[in-house]
Amino acid sequence: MLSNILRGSAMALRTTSMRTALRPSGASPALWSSLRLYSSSLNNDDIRCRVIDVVKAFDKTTASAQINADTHFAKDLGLDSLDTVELLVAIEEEFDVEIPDKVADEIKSVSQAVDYIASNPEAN
Amino acid sequence: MSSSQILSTYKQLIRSLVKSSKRSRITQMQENNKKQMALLTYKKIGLMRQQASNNAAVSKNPHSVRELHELTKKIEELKSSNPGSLKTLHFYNNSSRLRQIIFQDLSSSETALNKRLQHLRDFAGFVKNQLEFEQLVERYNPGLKMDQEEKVKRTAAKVGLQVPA
Repeated sequence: MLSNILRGSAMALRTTSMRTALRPSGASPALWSSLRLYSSSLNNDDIRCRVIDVVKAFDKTTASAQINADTHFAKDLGLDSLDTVELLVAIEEEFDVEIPDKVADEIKSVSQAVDYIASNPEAN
Repeated sequence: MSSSQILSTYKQLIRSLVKSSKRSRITQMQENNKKQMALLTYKKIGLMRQQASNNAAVSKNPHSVRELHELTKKIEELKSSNPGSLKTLHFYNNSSRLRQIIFQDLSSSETALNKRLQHLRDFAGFVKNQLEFEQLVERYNPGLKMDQEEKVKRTAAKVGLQVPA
């Protein structure tokens, strides 16, 4: 009983803190929060831009590499499996979701990541 | 089989480390920004003083005017920057060292490997729960992270007084 309550509050705490931390700059807070109650306000271009930004911020990617929607993590960026895992965790953090291991194994390029995020209703 | 296990363990570890280090990194960056801003403001004031004293004698030096302008711009930039939105925060910045520690002398025997993986999973769990614990402690004790000024203000407000501005 008690542990249940604690767990519940911990979950609530985590989601709220994540939400405030990850709110993208630009949209006004009030507008953003009211939007996010009804639907995920993400469109594909938006997601793509953010994923690409995350990939660019990764210091193990080759700096000169041009990153676009078709970029393949291993082939184009020269990432090994551990690097890919780090990148996927970063993408998870960016969109405040947790990608299950089975799905994550299949994500090998920017476009696949974008597709997954777009299909996930909890992403924001 | 074991490689996918290693990957998923590594993922748990990275995930927990990124989450737990994020907040402290954000505060650190904010502190740094503040320091930088104070420094720049100090420089700016010094420059302005110099200009004021020079002004009487010589006409305005275009070089110092430009410098002043640049300083103002930099301060504005720092003021508007938001460290929380940086994408680099999503990465654990010391992962090569971490990998070195984890994967050195990785033995090939099944039991030893399983033991090592279990240890890493425990570690990831510990980091994650520690973060949750800290957040809860903070939430239940709001005064914990308040600075002195805020505390005084709130204490005064409790008895219907206001701290003079």
